[in-house]
Amino acid sequence: MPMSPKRSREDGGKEGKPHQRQKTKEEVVHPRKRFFRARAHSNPLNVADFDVPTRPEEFDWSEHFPEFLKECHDRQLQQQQSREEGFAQSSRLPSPESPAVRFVDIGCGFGGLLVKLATLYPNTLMLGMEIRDKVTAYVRERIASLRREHPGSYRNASVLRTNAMKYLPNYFKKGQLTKMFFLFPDPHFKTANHRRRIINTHLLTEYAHVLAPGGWLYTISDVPELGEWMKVKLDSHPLFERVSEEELAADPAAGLLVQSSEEGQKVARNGGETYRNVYRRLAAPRHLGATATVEAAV
Amino acid sequence: MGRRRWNKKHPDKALAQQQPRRPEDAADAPVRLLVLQPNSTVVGIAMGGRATFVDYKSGSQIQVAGPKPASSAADVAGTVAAPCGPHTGTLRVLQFSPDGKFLLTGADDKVVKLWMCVSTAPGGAWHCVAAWRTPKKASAGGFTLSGSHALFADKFGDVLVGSVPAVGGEGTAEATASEPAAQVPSTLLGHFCTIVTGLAPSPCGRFLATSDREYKVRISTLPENPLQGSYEIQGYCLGHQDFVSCIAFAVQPDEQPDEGAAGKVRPSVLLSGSGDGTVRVWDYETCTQLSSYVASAPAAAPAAELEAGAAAEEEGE
Repeated sequence: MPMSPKRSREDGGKEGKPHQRQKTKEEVVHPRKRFFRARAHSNPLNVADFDVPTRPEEFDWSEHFPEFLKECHDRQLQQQQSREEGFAQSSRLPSPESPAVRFVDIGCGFGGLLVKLATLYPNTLMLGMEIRDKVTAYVRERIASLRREHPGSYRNASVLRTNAMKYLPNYFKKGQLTKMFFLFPDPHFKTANHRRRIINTHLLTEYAHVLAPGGWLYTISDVPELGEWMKVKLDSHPLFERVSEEELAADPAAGLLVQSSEEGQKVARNGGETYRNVYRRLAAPRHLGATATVEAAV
Repeated sequence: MGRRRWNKKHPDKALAQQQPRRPEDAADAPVRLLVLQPNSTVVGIAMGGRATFVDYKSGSQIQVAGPKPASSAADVAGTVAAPCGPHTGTLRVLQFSPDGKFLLTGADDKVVKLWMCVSTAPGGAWHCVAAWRTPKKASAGGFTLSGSHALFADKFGDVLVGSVPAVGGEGTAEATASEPAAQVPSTLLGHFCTIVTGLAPSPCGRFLATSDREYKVRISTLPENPLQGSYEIQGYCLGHQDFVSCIAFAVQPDEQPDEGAAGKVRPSVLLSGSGDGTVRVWDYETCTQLSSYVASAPAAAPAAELEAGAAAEEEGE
């Protein structure tokens, strides 16, 4: 297998020889994409055959982030104990609230962006949402094997199989997220199917509901018409404002948009051009010009 | 190509997909509607494609001018003997405006009509003053608190808005001349690809509550001019385990709309009835559930849906 010798060569440099021999014995096997093949498109209008929580409060996140949440829980108990024992230092520290998912990759595909973000923001919980069953299983296996291979890392990333267009409010409370990613969404070329596009006025209202004010919404596409469509829809929504190029250049996540996901790498291989639109969620609606509201139907 | 191959492999699945999952989901499920006209003694009943309006004090029937026949020699107003329906399909929307002056009807012919109720002559016919074309069949409707705009939702999940024409004193003569042409309404907001089952403006006038078949009740901000669209969601009232069939606001009689929640004034609440057999009471500004009542067994037959609906409507009036 071409993968395992490479991994042990990387680790061999850091640890000593006995450790290296131990690593090759229990090699971490990463999932192969060919066993998780699925059709590229799935109809988002289909009736769900997976479970959806009734309310965000009822969803058990400890299945997805077991060690992370356990650590936070232990830290909370510790703080509580030390506060009871009357230590002065503990009163200075803010009580850590139970962490919540802050980043969401909608339509995460095979998880390329998610694994890059996990190491870039190790203290932030992030979730990938994917509607295809097999692809979700692949990402789950990939994250599990990465967690085994790099103990202590990738504990903040997980994947969920769900229809993000319908069920976002079931998973996230109002203003919970700080970043949302839409990488290379389905263009739905036919005019009759335009309402299924993941960026349209009605859905932007829902995304503004789960995004905290000041949160960013990242989109990228290689289809020029879709890039233009997303820009028009975002410009005509009063709760979103375009992020300037200088701020984008300074943002680490924005740099990942083009090349991190599998779809992005395919586009780069074929030498295609990408159209990036990143917008900020405003705290209060901005005043739109008269012309902008006319275009905002759907 | 893909779909046919898939259906060949799974013939049972193809059959199951064509049939509706439950009786009430079928396209021709019977629809029964009942409304009271505010500031008046008229009751409106709609059954299938026909609507009847009866003054329950006098027992007389109000005529609603239907679509004119091709040979339009006969008078429009008041001469139609049998109650001919104002629409050609099953009626799904039947709502009076808060002041009782207008009636909104919507049906499976994909047209939503606004009728002016001439209150001076109790026996006079009502005629259509505005019409809107909806892309899909209308499923719910209502008015804003001031009665300035008509709101109606279609099976796509879009809530559309049309402005109610200003009522002049005696300017009704020209309106009876012809059926107004159907206009294209503006879009207010949308639930993604689910049928909107109920629509109600909040008593304070700042919010609009809409319910859908995906178990959700959504509270959105209702702007002063609804034609501009609503872009901000106040919250979701989540808790139902099945489709939400109807919603209504219960207004506390001694509450002033501009007073805050100060003092011992009990705030207005939102009620919702669902296919899971419960009627739930919500505080709509914080979207928290205050209480829940079991009204009937969970939906297995259309009768259960109507029980929950009737209970919620009674409490809401």
